[in-house]
Amino acid sequence: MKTKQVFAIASSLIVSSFISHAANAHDRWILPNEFNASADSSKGVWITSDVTAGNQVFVFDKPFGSEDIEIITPKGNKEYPSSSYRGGRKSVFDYQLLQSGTYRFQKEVAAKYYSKYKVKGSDKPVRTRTDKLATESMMPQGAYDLEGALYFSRVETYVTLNKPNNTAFKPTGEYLELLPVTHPADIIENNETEFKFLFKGKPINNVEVSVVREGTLYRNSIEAIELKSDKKGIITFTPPKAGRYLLHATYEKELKNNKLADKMVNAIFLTFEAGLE
Amino acid sequence: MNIKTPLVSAIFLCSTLPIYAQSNLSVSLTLPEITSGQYHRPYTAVWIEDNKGKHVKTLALWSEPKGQKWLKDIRRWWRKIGRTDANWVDGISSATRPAGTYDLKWDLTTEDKQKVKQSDYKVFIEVVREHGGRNLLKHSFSLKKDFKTTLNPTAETGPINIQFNK
Repeated sequence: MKTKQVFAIASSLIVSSFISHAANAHDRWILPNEFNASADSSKGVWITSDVTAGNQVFVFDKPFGSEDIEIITPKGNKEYPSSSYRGGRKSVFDYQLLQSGTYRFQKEVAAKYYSKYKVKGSDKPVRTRTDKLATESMMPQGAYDLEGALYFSRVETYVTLNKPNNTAFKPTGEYLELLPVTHPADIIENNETEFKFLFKGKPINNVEVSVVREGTLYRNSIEAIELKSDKKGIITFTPPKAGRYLLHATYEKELKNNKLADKMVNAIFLTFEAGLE
Repeated sequence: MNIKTPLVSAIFLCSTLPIYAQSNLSVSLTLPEITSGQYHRPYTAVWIEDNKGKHVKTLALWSEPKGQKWLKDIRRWWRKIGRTDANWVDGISSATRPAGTYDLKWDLTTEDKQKVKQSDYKVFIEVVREHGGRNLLKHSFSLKKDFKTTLNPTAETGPINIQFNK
Protein backbone atom coordinates (compact mmCIF):
# COMPACT_ATOMS: atom_id res chain seq x y z
CA MET A 1 0.00 0.00 0.00
CA LYS A 2 2.66 2.43 1.01
CA THR A 3 4.87 1.52 -1.92
CA LYS A 4 1.95 2.08 -4.25
CA GLN A 5 1.54 5.61 -2.99
CA VAL A 6 5.22 6.39 -3.23
CA PHE A 7 5.28 5.06 -6.76
CA ALA A 8 2.30 7.17 -7.71
CA ILE A 9 3.86 10.30 -6.30
CA ALA A 10 7.17 9.52 -7.96
CA SER A 11 5.55 8.97 -11.32
CA SER A 12 3.50 12.10 -11.01
CA LEU A 13 6.71 14.02 -10.43
CA ILE A 14 8.22 12.42 -13.48
CA VAL A 15 5.22 13.49 -15.52
CA SER A 16 5.34 17.08 -14.37
CA SER A 17 9.07 17.27 -15.01
CA PHE A 18 8.46 16.29 -18.62
CA ILE A 19 6.66 18.50 -21.04
CA SER A 20 3.11 17.52 -20.46
CA HIS A 21 1.17 16.05 -23.33
CA ALA A 22 -2.09 17.24 -21.90
CA ALA A 23 -4.34 19.70 -23.69
CA ASN A 24 -3.00 22.60 -21.70
CA ALA A 25 0.58 21.73 -22.60
CA HIS A 26 3.02 24.11 -24.18
CA ASP A 27 3.12 24.50 -27.91
CA ARG A 28 6.09 22.77 -29.47
CA TRP A 29 7.86 23.58 -32.68
CA ILE A 30 10.79 23.15 -35.02
CA LEU A 31 11.80 26.57 -36.29
CA PRO A 32 14.31 26.63 -39.16
CA ASN A 33 16.38 29.75 -39.89
CA GLU A 34 14.81 29.85 -43.35
CA PHE A 35 11.99 27.99 -45.04
CA ASN A 36 12.88 28.74 -48.63
CA ALA A 37 16.49 28.80 -49.70
CA SER A 38 18.24 29.37 -52.99
CA ALA A 39 21.69 28.05 -53.79
CA ASP A 40 23.82 26.47 -56.45
CA SER A 41 23.07 22.81 -55.98
CA SER A 42 26.78 22.03 -55.80
CA LYS A 43 27.13 24.19 -52.70
CA GLY A 44 24.05 23.29 -50.72
CA VAL A 45 22.67 25.27 -47.81
CA TRP A 46 23.03 24.74 -44.08
CA ILE A 47 19.79 25.00 -42.15
CA THR A 48 19.83 25.45 -38.40
CA SER A 49 16.64 24.91 -36.45
CA ASP A 50 15.42 25.61 -32.94
CA VAL A 51 13.50 22.82 -31.25
CA THR A 52 11.57 24.16 -28.32
CA ALA A 53 8.34 24.34 -26.41
CA GLY A 54 6.83 27.55 -25.17
CA ASN A 55 3.59 29.36 -24.49
CA GLN A 56 4.32 32.33 -26.75
CA VAL A 57 4.86 31.86 -30.49
CA PHE A 58 7.94 31.64 -31.02
CA VAL A 59 9.54 32.42 -27.67
CA PHE A 60 11.62 29.43 -26.67
CA ASP A 61 11.14 28.20 -23.16
CA LYS A 62 11.87 24.50 -22.79
CA PRO A 63 14.14 22.31 -24.87
CA PHE A 64 13.18 18.96 -26.18
CA GLY A 65 15.45 16.44 -27.82
CA SER A 66 16.61 17.27 -31.33
CA GLU A 67 19.01 14.33 -31.76
CA ASP A 68 16.21 12.14 -33.05
CA ILE A 69 14.67 14.65 -35.44
CA GLU A 70 14.01 12.91 -38.73
CA ILE A 71 14.61 14.59 -42.04
CA ILE A 72 12.66 13.30 -45.01
CA THR A 73 14.61 14.31 -48.12
CA PRO A 74 13.15 15.39 -51.48
CA LYS A 75 13.77 11.84 -52.67
CA GLY A 76 11.89 10.36 -49.71
CA ASN A 77 14.89 9.06 -47.76
CA LYS A 78 15.15 9.41 -44.01
CA GLU A 79 18.15 11.23 -42.59
CA TYR A 80 19.20 12.69 -39.24
CA PRO A 81 20.78 15.97 -38.10
CA SER A 82 24.50 16.32 -38.64
CA SER A 83 24.83 17.82 -35.19
CA SER A 84 22.60 18.87 -32.35
CA TYR A 85 22.78 20.70 -29.07
CA ARG A 86 20.51 20.75 -26.06
CA GLY A 87 20.57 23.91 -24.04
CA GLY A 88 18.69 25.06 -21.00
CA ARG A 89 15.86 26.68 -22.93
CA LYS A 90 16.03 25.19 -26.41
CA SER A 91 17.61 22.54 -28.56
CA VAL A 92 19.24 23.18 -31.90
CA PHE A 93 20.13 20.97 -34.83
CA ASP A 94 21.94 21.49 -38.09
CA TYR A 95 21.39 19.85 -41.41
CA GLN A 96 22.80 20.60 -44.85
CA LEU A 97 20.43 20.62 -47.81
CA LEU A 98 22.39 19.23 -50.74
CA GLN A 99 19.66 18.45 -53.23
CA SER A 100 16.97 20.74 -54.60
CA GLY A 101 13.45 20.07 -53.42
CA THR A 102 11.34 19.99 -50.29
CA TYR A 103 12.45 18.47 -46.99
CA ARG A 104 10.28 17.56 -44.02
CA PHE A 105 11.84 17.99 -40.59
CA GLN A 106 9.83 15.97 -38.11
CA LYS A 107 9.72 14.67 -34.63
CA GLU A 108 7.29 11.88 -34.09
CA VAL A 109 6.54 11.48 -30.44
CA ALA A 110 5.67 7.81 -30.02
CA ALA A 111 2.21 6.99 -28.71
CA LYS A 112 2.19 6.88 -24.92
CA TYR A 113 -0.40 6.20 -22.27
CA TYR A 114 -1.11 8.72 -19.57
CA SER A 115 -3.63 8.39 -16.78
CA LYS A 116 -4.94 10.46 -13.96
CA TYR A 117 -7.07 9.97 -10.87
CA LYS A 118 -8.13 11.89 -7.82
CA VAL A 119 -7.65 11.16 -4.16
CA LYS A 120 -9.84 12.39 -1.35
CA GLY A 121 -8.85 15.75 0.03
CA SER A 122 -7.31 17.08 -3.17
CA ASP A 123 -8.94 18.46 -6.30
CA LYS A 124 -5.73 18.21 -8.24
CA PRO A 125 -5.55 14.95 -10.17
CA VAL A 126 -2.61 12.62 -9.74
CA ARG A 127 -1.05 11.94 -13.14
CA THR A 128 0.79 8.82 -14.19
CA ARG A 129 2.71 7.80 -17.26
CA THR A 130 1.06 4.42 -17.44
CA ASP A 131 -2.09 3.05 -18.97
CA LYS A 132 -5.34 2.82 -17.09
CA LEU A 133 -4.94 -0.80 -16.08
CA ALA A 134 -1.48 -0.32 -14.64
CA THR A 135 -2.55 2.89 -12.93
CA GLU A 136 -5.51 1.17 -11.34
CA SER A 137 -3.27 -1.50 -9.87
CA MET A 138 -1.01 1.03 -8.21
CA MET A 139 -3.32 3.82 -7.15
CA PRO A 140 -4.30 4.08 -3.49
CA GLN A 141 -7.52 2.66 -2.17
CA GLY A 142 -10.37 5.11 -2.38
CA ALA A 143 -8.90 6.87 -5.38
CA TYR A 144 -11.56 7.88 -7.91
CA ASP A 145 -12.20 9.48 -11.32
CA LEU A 146 -9.61 7.32 -13.06
CA GLU A 147 -9.15 8.32 -16.68
CA GLY A 148 -6.65 7.13 -19.22
CA ALA A 149 -5.60 8.53 -22.58
CA LEU A 150 -3.28 7.55 -25.38
CA TYR A 151 -1.30 10.52 -26.70
CA PHE A 152 0.42 10.79 -30.03
CA SER A 153 1.97 13.87 -31.56
CA ARG A 154 4.00 15.12 -34.49
CA VAL A 155 6.09 18.26 -34.61
CA GLU A 156 7.05 19.19 -38.14
CA THR A 157 8.06 21.77 -40.69
CA TYR A 158 8.97 21.94 -44.37
CA VAL A 159 12.07 23.55 -45.86
CA THR A 160 12.61 23.96 -49.59
CA LEU A 161 15.82 24.44 -51.54
CA ASN A 162 15.25 25.84 -55.04
CA LYS A 163 12.42 24.00 -56.83
CA PRO A 164 9.78 22.51 -54.49
CA ASN A 165 8.53 18.93 -54.78
CA ASN A 166 5.99 16.79 -52.92
CA THR A 167 7.77 13.52 -52.17
CA ALA A 168 8.35 14.34 -48.49
CA PHE A 169 4.59 14.84 -47.97
CA LYS A 170 3.95 11.11 -48.25
CA PRO A 171 1.70 10.06 -45.38
CA THR A 172 2.47 6.95 -43.33
CA GLY A 173 -1.16 6.00 -42.71
CA GLU A 174 -0.63 6.13 -38.95
CA TYR A 175 -2.50 8.34 -36.49
CA LEU A 176 -3.25 11.95 -37.43
CA GLU A 177 -1.31 13.46 -40.34
CA LEU A 178 -1.28 16.79 -42.12
CA LEU A 179 -0.99 16.71 -45.88
CA PRO A 180 -0.21 20.07 -47.51
CA VAL A 181 -2.53 20.87 -50.41
CA THR A 182 -1.04 24.33 -50.83
CA HIS A 183 2.69 23.63 -50.98
CA PRO A 184 4.42 25.15 -47.91
CA ALA A 185 6.75 27.03 -50.28
CA ASP A 186 3.67 28.65 -51.87
CA ILE A 187 1.94 29.96 -48.76
CA ILE A 188 1.52 33.68 -49.37
CA GLU A 189 -0.02 36.47 -47.33
CA ASN A 190 -3.60 37.32 -48.31
CA ASN A 191 -3.84 34.15 -50.38
CA GLU A 192 -5.87 31.11 -49.45
CA THR A 193 -3.97 28.18 -47.97
CA GLU A 194 -5.34 24.66 -47.92
CA PHE A 195 -4.27 21.66 -45.83
CA LYS A 196 -5.75 18.22 -45.48
CA PHE A 197 -5.94 16.02 -42.38
CA LEU A 198 -5.77 12.26 -42.46
CA PHE A 199 -6.40 9.80 -39.68
CA LYS A 200 -4.97 6.35 -40.39
CA GLY A 201 -4.54 7.48 -43.97
CA LYS A 202 -8.15 8.62 -44.49
CA PRO A 203 -9.58 12.16 -44.57
CA ILE A 204 -10.91 13.10 -41.15
CA ASN A 205 -13.34 15.81 -40.14
CA ASN A 206 -13.57 17.80 -36.92
CA VAL A 207 -9.84 18.15 -36.41
CA GLU A 208 -9.53 21.30 -34.31
CA VAL A 209 -6.95 23.67 -35.67
CA SER A 210 -5.48 26.90 -34.42
CA VAL A 211 -3.11 28.99 -36.57
CA VAL A 212 -1.15 31.71 -34.81
CA ARG A 213 1.24 34.25 -36.28
CA GLU A 214 4.55 34.75 -34.49
CA GLY A 215 5.02 37.56 -32.00
CA THR A 216 2.16 36.91 -29.57
CA LEU A 217 4.36 38.37 -26.81
CA TYR A 218 4.16 41.77 -28.49
CA ARG A 219 0.45 42.08 -29.07
CA ASN A 220 -2.51 42.07 -26.74
CA SER A 221 -4.61 39.62 -28.68
CA ILE A 222 -3.43 36.20 -29.86
CA GLU A 223 -5.29 36.65 -33.17
CA ALA A 224 -5.58 32.91 -33.66
CA ILE A 225 -7.35 31.60 -36.71
CA GLU A 226 -9.58 28.80 -35.36
CA LEU A 227 -10.74 26.12 -37.77
CA LYS A 228 -12.24 22.66 -38.01
CA SER A 229 -11.56 20.23 -40.83
CA ASP A 230 -14.50 19.39 -43.07
CA LYS A 231 -15.68 15.99 -44.30
CA LYS A 232 -12.86 15.83 -46.78
CA GLY A 233 -10.36 16.59 -44.03
CA ILE A 234 -9.77 20.05 -45.49
CA ILE A 235 -9.08 23.36 -43.80
CA THR A 236 -8.68 26.63 -45.69
CA PHE A 237 -7.51 29.91 -44.27
CA THR A 238 -5.84 33.11 -45.42
CA PRO A 239 -2.70 34.26 -43.62
CA PRO A 240 -3.33 37.97 -43.07
CA LYS A 241 0.34 38.96 -43.07
CA ALA A 242 3.67 37.63 -44.25
CA GLY A 243 5.55 35.98 -41.42
CA ARG A 244 6.07 32.77 -39.54
CA TYR A 245 3.10 30.83 -38.20
CA LEU A 246 2.48 27.95 -35.84
CA LEU A 247 -0.37 25.59 -36.58
CA HIS A 248 -1.63 23.38 -33.77
CA ALA A 249 -4.09 20.64 -34.66
CA THR A 250 -5.76 18.28 -32.21
CA TYR A 251 -8.02 15.35 -32.76
CA GLU A 252 -9.63 13.39 -29.94
CA LYS A 253 -11.25 10.06 -30.41
CA GLU A 254 -13.14 8.07 -27.83
CA LEU A 255 -11.78 4.57 -27.35
CA LYS A 256 -14.62 2.15 -26.73
CA ASN A 257 -14.15 -1.15 -24.91
CA ASN A 258 -10.55 -0.31 -24.25
CA LYS A 259 -9.13 -1.21 -20.86
CA LEU A 260 -5.99 0.85 -21.31
CA ALA A 261 -7.45 4.25 -22.16
CA ASP A 262 -10.76 6.11 -22.55
CA LYS A 263 -9.63 8.27 -25.44
CA MET A 264 -6.88 8.85 -27.92
CA VAL A 265 -5.48 12.34 -28.40
CA ASN A 266 -3.54 13.26 -31.55
CA ALA A 267 -1.67 16.52 -31.93
CA ILE A 268 0.27 18.09 -34.78
CA PHE A 269 2.42 21.19 -34.60
CA LEU A 270 3.40 22.60 -37.98
CA THR A 271 5.65 25.63 -38.41
CA PHE A 272 5.37 27.45 -41.72
CA GLU A 273 6.08 30.75 -43.41
CA ALA A 274 3.67 32.97 -45.30
CA GLY A 275 5.68 34.87 -47.89
CA LEU A 276 5.26 38.42 -49.14
CA GLU A 277 3.03 38.88 -52.15
CA MET B 1 32.39 42.54 -102.81
CA ASN B 2 34.11 43.86 -99.72
CA ILE B 3 32.01 46.98 -99.89
CA LYS B 4 28.86 45.17 -100.80
CA THR B 5 28.64 42.84 -97.81
CA PRO B 6 28.10 45.46 -95.10
CA LEU B 7 25.70 47.24 -97.40
CA VAL B 8 23.68 44.14 -98.00
CA SER B 9 23.63 43.36 -94.31
CA ALA B 10 22.63 46.93 -93.56
CA ILE B 11 19.70 46.64 -95.93
CA PHE B 12 18.89 43.26 -94.48
CA LEU B 13 18.93 44.70 -90.98
CA CYS B 14 16.74 47.64 -91.95
CA SER B 15 14.20 45.44 -93.58
CA THR B 16 14.06 42.96 -90.73
CA LEU B 17 14.13 45.34 -87.79
CA PRO B 18 10.64 46.74 -88.25
CA ILE B 19 9.26 43.20 -88.33
CA TYR B 20 10.83 42.34 -84.97
CA ALA B 21 9.83 45.68 -83.55
CA GLN B 22 6.27 45.64 -84.72
CA SER B 23 4.57 44.84 -81.43
CA ASN B 24 6.30 45.78 -78.26
CA LEU B 25 5.75 46.48 -74.65
CA SER B 26 8.42 48.81 -73.47
CA VAL B 27 9.32 49.38 -69.84
CA SER B 28 11.54 52.27 -68.98
CA LEU B 29 12.76 51.64 -65.46
CA THR B 30 14.62 54.15 -63.37
CA LEU B 31 16.73 53.06 -60.43
CA PRO B 32 17.06 56.15 -58.25
CA GLU B 33 20.22 57.53 -56.69
CA ILE B 34 20.12 56.57 -53.04
CA THR B 35 22.64 58.36 -50.91
CA SER B 36 21.48 57.52 -47.41
CA GLY B 37 22.88 54.51 -45.58
CA GLN B 38 24.87 51.64 -46.94
CA TYR B 39 24.24 51.33 -50.66
CA HIS B 40 24.36 48.17 -52.71
CA ARG B 41 23.00 47.98 -56.23
CA PRO B 42 19.55 46.40 -56.11
CA TYR B 43 18.58 42.93 -57.21
CA THR B 44 16.03 43.55 -59.92
CA ALA B 45 13.61 41.42 -61.91
CA VAL B 46 11.14 42.57 -64.54
CA TRP B 47 8.76 40.01 -65.95
CA ILE B 48 5.38 39.27 -67.47
CA GLU B 49 2.63 37.05 -66.02
CA ASP B 50 -0.66 36.11 -67.60
CA ASN B 51 -3.93 37.10 -65.95
CA LYS B 52 -3.91 33.91 -63.90
CA GLY B 53 -0.52 34.66 -62.37
CA LYS B 54 1.40 32.21 -64.55
CA HIS B 55 4.88 33.20 -65.65
CA VAL B 56 5.23 34.24 -69.29
CA LYS B 57 8.61 35.88 -69.77
CA THR B 58 11.44 37.40 -67.76
CA LEU B 59 12.56 40.64 -69.35
CA ALA B 60 15.44 41.36 -66.99
CA LEU B 61 17.20 39.72 -64.07
CA TRP B 62 20.00 41.69 -62.48
CA SER B 63 21.74 39.95 -59.61
CA GLU B 64 25.14 39.16 -58.21
CA PRO B 65 27.04 36.87 -60.54
CA LYS B 66 28.47 34.80 -57.69
CA GLY B 67 26.03 32.15 -56.66
CA GLN B 68 22.31 32.07 -56.13
CA LYS B 69 22.15 32.48 -52.38
CA TRP B 70 20.26 35.78 -52.45
CA LEU B 71 18.03 35.11 -55.46
CA LYS B 72 15.21 34.04 -53.13
CA ASP B 73 15.04 37.63 -51.88
CA ILE B 74 13.49 38.65 -55.20
CA ARG B 75 10.53 37.00 -53.54
CA ARG B 76 7.79 36.90 -56.13
CA TRP B 77 10.01 36.34 -59.15
CA TRP B 78 11.83 33.55 -57.29
CA ARG B 79 8.56 31.83 -56.33
CA LYS B 80 6.96 32.21 -59.72
CA ILE B 81 9.84 31.08 -61.90
CA GLY B 82 13.37 31.55 -60.55
CA ARG B 83 13.41 28.46 -58.36
CA THR B 84 12.40 26.15 -61.18
CA ASP B 85 15.61 25.96 -63.20
CA ALA B 86 19.06 26.98 -61.98
CA ASN B 87 20.75 26.62 -65.38
CA TRP B 88 18.17 28.79 -67.07
CA VAL B 89 18.60 31.43 -64.36
CA ASP B 90 22.37 31.36 -64.89
CA GLY B 91 21.76 31.96 -68.57
CA ILE B 92 19.50 34.99 -68.23
CA SER B 93 21.00 36.77 -65.22
CA SER B 94 23.33 39.70 -65.60
CA ALA B 95 25.13 42.04 -63.23
CA THR B 96 23.32 44.48 -60.96
CA ARG B 97 22.98 48.00 -62.40
CA PRO B 98 23.87 51.38 -60.96
CA ALA B 99 21.31 54.18 -60.66
CA GLY B 100 19.99 55.19 -64.07
CA THR B 101 17.23 54.61 -66.59
CA TYR B 102 16.98 51.32 -68.43
CA ASP B 103 14.77 50.44 -71.37
CA LEU B 104 13.40 46.93 -71.50
CA LYS B 105 11.28 45.41 -74.21
CA TRP B 106 8.82 42.56 -74.44
CA ASP B 107 8.32 41.19 -77.94
CA LEU B 108 5.10 39.38 -76.90
CA THR B 109 6.74 35.98 -76.77
CA THR B 110 7.01 33.36 -74.02
CA GLU B 111 10.23 31.88 -72.62
CA ASP B 112 9.89 29.25 -75.39
CA LYS B 113 9.82 32.03 -77.98
CA GLN B 114 6.17 31.37 -78.83
CA LYS B 115 3.92 34.31 -79.65
CA VAL B 116 1.44 34.91 -76.83
CA LYS B 117 -2.30 35.02 -77.47
CA GLN B 118 -4.38 38.19 -77.38
CA SER B 119 -5.25 38.44 -73.73
CA ASP B 120 -4.64 40.32 -70.51
CA TYR B 121 -1.21 40.35 -68.93
CA LYS B 122 0.62 41.91 -66.05
CA VAL B 123 4.08 43.37 -65.97
CA PHE B 124 5.93 43.08 -62.65
CA ILE B 125 8.93 45.05 -61.46
CA GLU B 126 10.57 43.76 -58.26
CA VAL B 127 13.50 45.67 -56.80
CA VAL B 128 15.25 44.47 -53.63
CA ARG B 129 18.28 46.07 -52.05
CA GLU B 130 20.60 44.57 -49.45
CA HIS B 131 20.31 46.73 -46.30
CA GLY B 132 17.53 48.53 -48.13
CA GLY B 133 13.91 47.94 -48.98
CA ARG B 134 11.86 45.98 -51.44
CA ASN B 135 9.26 47.27 -53.85
CA LEU B 136 7.00 45.21 -56.04
CA LEU B 137 5.15 47.13 -58.75
CA LYS B 138 2.68 45.74 -61.22
CA HIS B 139 0.55 46.93 -64.05
CA SER B 140 -2.25 45.05 -65.80
CA PHE B 141 -2.83 45.57 -69.47
CA SER B 142 -4.57 44.14 -72.50
CA LEU B 143 -2.94 43.42 -75.83
CA LYS B 144 -6.10 44.69 -77.49
CA LYS B 145 -5.26 48.34 -77.25
CA ASP B 146 -2.30 50.68 -77.09
CA PHE B 147 -1.53 52.36 -73.81
CA LYS B 148 0.99 54.52 -72.07
CA THR B 149 1.32 54.86 -68.33
CA THR B 150 3.72 55.95 -65.61
CA LEU B 151 4.04 54.17 -62.29
CA ASN B 152 4.75 56.50 -59.42
CA PRO B 153 8.16 56.41 -57.78
CA THR B 154 8.65 54.25 -54.69
CA ALA B 155 11.53 54.05 -52.22
CA GLU B 156 13.48 51.72 -54.50
CA THR B 157 12.22 52.80 -57.93
CA GLY B 158 12.05 56.07 -59.83
CA PRO B 159 9.27 56.70 -62.34
CA ILE B 160 8.53 53.71 -64.56
CA ASN B 161 7.12 54.41 -68.01
CA ILE B 162 5.27 51.57 -69.65
CA GLN B 163 4.10 51.80 -73.21
CA PHE B 164 2.46 49.39 -75.59
CA ASN B 165 2.07 49.77 -79.35
CA LYS B 166 0.05 47.27 -81.29
